[in-house]
Amino acid sequence: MSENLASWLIRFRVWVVGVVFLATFAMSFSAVKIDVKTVFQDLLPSDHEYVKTHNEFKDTFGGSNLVTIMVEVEDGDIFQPEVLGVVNNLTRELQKVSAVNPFQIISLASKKLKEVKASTEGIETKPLMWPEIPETDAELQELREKVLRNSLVYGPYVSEDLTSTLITVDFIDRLLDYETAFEEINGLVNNVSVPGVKVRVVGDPILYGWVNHYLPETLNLVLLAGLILVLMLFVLNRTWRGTILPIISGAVSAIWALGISNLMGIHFDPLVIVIAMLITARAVSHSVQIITRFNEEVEQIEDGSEEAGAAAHSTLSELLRPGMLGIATDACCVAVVALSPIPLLQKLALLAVVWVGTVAISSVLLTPVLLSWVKHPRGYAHPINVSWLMHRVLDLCHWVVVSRMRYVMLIWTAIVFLGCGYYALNLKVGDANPGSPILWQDSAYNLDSAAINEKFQGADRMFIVVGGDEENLAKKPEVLKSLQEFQRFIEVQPEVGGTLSVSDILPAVNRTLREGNPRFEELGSTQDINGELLYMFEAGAEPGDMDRYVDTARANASVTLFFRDRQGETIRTTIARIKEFVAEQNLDGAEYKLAGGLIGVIAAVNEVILSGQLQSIALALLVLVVLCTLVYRSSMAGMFFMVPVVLSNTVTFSFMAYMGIGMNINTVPVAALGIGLGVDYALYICDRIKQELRTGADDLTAIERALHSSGKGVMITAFVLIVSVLLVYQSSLKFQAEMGLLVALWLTVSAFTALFVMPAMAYIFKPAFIYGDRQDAV
Amino acid sequence: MVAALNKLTRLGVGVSPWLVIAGLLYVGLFVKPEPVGSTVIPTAIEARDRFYGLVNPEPQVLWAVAADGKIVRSDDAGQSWQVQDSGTNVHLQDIAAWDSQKAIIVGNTGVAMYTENGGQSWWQADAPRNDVVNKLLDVKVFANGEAWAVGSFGTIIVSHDYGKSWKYALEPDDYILNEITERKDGALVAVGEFGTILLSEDRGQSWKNIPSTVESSLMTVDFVDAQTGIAAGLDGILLKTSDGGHSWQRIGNQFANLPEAKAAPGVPNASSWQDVTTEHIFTLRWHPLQERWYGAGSKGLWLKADADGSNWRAGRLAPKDLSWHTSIALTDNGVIYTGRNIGRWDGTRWQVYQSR
Repeated sequence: MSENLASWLIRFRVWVVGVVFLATFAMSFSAVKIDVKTVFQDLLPSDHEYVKTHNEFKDTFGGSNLVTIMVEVEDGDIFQPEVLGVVNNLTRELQKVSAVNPFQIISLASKKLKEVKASTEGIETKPLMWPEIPETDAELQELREKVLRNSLVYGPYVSEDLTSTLITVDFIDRLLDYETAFEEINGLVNNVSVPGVKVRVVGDPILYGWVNHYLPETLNLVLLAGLILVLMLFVLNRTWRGTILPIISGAVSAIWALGISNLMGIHFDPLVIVIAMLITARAVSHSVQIITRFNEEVEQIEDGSEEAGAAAHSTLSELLRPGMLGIATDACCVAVVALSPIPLLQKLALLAVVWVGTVAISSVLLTPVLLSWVKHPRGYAHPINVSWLMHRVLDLCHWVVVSRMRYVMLIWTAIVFLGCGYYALNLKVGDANPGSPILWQDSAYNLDSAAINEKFQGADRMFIVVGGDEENLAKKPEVLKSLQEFQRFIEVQPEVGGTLSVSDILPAVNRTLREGNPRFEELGSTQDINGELLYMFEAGAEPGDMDRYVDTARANASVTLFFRDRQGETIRTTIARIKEFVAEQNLDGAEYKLAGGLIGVIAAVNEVILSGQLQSIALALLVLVVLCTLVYRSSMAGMFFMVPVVLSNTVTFSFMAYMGIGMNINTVPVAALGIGLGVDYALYICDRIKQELRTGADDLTAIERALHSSGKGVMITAFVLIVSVLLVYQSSLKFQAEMGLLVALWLTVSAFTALFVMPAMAYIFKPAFIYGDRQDAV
Repeated sequence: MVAALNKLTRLGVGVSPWLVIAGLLYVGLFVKPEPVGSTVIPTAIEARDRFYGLVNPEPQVLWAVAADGKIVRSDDAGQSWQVQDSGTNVHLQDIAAWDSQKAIIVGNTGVAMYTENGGQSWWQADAPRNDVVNKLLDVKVFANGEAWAVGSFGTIIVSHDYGKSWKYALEPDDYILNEITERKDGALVAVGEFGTILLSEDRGQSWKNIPSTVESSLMTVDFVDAQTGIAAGLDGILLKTSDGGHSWQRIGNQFANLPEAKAAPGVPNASSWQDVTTEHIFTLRWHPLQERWYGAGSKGLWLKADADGSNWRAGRLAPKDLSWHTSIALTDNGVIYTGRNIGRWDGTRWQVYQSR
């Protein structure tokens, strides 16, 4: 079959190439229009319980796109007119930022932070510092005192040492564009030029804003990596075809993939550039395999009758099986990611499958067809020859098989596998370190985040809802009491910096009513009394003032939890503790609903990833095993090719555990692609051994030939790709850098396994699908 | 034999790949790991605690009661604390102890509890309750198992069996009584809302309502001897008696301009004195060994005065600590304050006991 296809393709080569290039030309129009952005809604598994709660209540109790701005003074405290002026200005200017929810800007200078005072007329609520900022010493002192005795302000909005204060701002999710919000808020913050005052900003819109900010840098790195790739291909392959054709196939598949994605309405998340590089790497390495094989075929053609077409034909027919199998395993393994309920991962899987699929055409078919035109197949483009060095290494590979080293190699492989496998159990789901794993620890954002979390209860929030359908449920004493107990229970965990709910407000109002006697700092004993207390607090309130605590019908109340970090372990512990608490609650008509806000959403994503983690690895392996079994019509083939995959993945996972890289929404697709990735090199080498044996070579010669031909291709691509991928380690985005490192590791391990371990294994076990139905074959 | 073994090996080799495939399929379809969190152990003193009552029956023992039914005890003068199980979640307002083993607690909903084993177990006593509102705010213990407690709705109850059984000592009335104390000759004095002062010179058989000339709440009262006593309350009101509580006079004049307070820790500006004098005073205690008055109140207030109620000094425990305190204990190495937080003040330094 591959013979016929090869003949057909070579015969109609002009048409084939014409159609491919026309299609590429057409696709390029669509490809350049692809949206490069992070779409927030895509990050959420919308069917997850937490996300449902989040979506239901985010407009009331606070979304996951909250931005926190900290105004910090170097000397003295914040109670200076200039400092308060900065807070005041920022608070007002923030209203003009696109997509900001004007009712959810909270700071000392907003109307939201109030003091409840008993007066002769009863009870009075007044904004702390609105509309005028204090000027005189006495006024400043008065404000300081007001802040110090208000537990809703002192702690949550003014730091305990009085040197910093927060402004929080929430967005209307559906209008929010991360890049615009980032630019506008950064513009405001950079405008502040009061000496001795420092302004820090955190929040997801800012975080993703930084990712976009570094996009040009990332693209430059990718281009540079591409350049180095070209250069090294030229040096190692010594031919123009060996340099240009891999690039053509990489480019064609990229254009097709991006074009098709754009037509399907998928946008390109800047964080998945690594995935793009990875797939392009596949395209390049398939292409290099084909060129290497072509060079060999050319060698065998007699002098004088140089006919590139024949060489291209046999190359194509011989490499169709390993090439297509490699692509099919890549595509199927990454397709498994689409089982995840997270839209971003589904779209990414689709993008990756399309992309990998196009490699079949751009590399496996197009490259040999283009090769058939080569004019001087024996010539070299430059005199530098390093192939002797490569053959030395390949000799070493062969020596391993010939000598007793083959057993040692196998035992070492087993040891490495077991050791790494055991260590990989430390791999964490969720972020493994405080701060954002996307940026370096010493990046401005992570420094800001650390500073805010040190001064305050925590910048990242989760909300829990207690309530039901019945109106005024949130005024019931048992509900409020339960809230209080919940807050006390959950605050025991040190990473939870604090909690806030309506149950904190009512006792304070009650105490104020009782002449400030703290012995009466307690909830009302009936629903009516609580309603009364709430009414007094609300007096003179504006729409949205109570939103952080209860909904309009008073049917639902929220507890806001402030987190000092967003590590996977922190969130898991909190969720487990919340569930433990909720299991013991028996509230008539009201129930606890988990969990909204940024941390609630992250918790949902982490749970989805954790629950799907083993599944996706197992299914990807299953796909690989089944495909190999089918193609080679041998169940042993499936087992055999599992070795490089399992080995490269355990090594990489243990490396992730060692580096503190957690499994999160950004790393999962890279990991899934890695499974399919590990097998390509082994496929080419083993398939070559099989072919050589079929032509009558003895066992060791077959292995030697396979190593010096396919093995050379493996070495060239692995080396070239590793060097260019490592370049990404210079990225200002820690995530990109680490993923570059991971991909490099994957390539190294799978190349090493293909060159040193697989031939030894083949020689020792002599699997029937390679060695045929011989007496000693398994 | 060898052939059979060979056959068996072949069979094993043939079957094992399918077992692996089946295994992968099983894991792929059915294995879903559940998140597991780590364990968190609560500290004895938590940020959310509000300690209303405190007693130190022995020099090393500190015993405090708090909101939400919490009881904590330290046997090493505050170095470490243990939580005791109260069996209730109502606010506990005060604790009094005969020794380190026998003690009683009173609180919201009229709850009264006693222990005879240092708090390892607390038993609910049967305390009388009225139909309107029950909230016991203060309890004192005396020799031979006698105990007195006061609270809302004019409640005065008494026990003669170490707090096991209680009975009313006065008909309820519509005002709150905040504290009861003993004159050094055994007469009882209680103070409360609307400037109420009650005096009983026959151990509770009959009570006399003493006119106090103030209308705001009196929170605390204590006596130096049988004659001299001071009562204090909201807005910094201070009343002094020199005739065993039969008549009371405002102390205030001496208060007007006291330079020391300005220099007190944590009071940075000149206007603060004004502030302190008008703050609520929640507790005032006579220290017989040091022959001095000590007090506490809202916004981190500390108070000190000489035996005759003169030479008042006041200030804030720490510059940024505006916590209220409702109870103090006078120990050898300083005054222990309990309220929004719990800590020790040695006259110059304020040290808060372990929170977070």
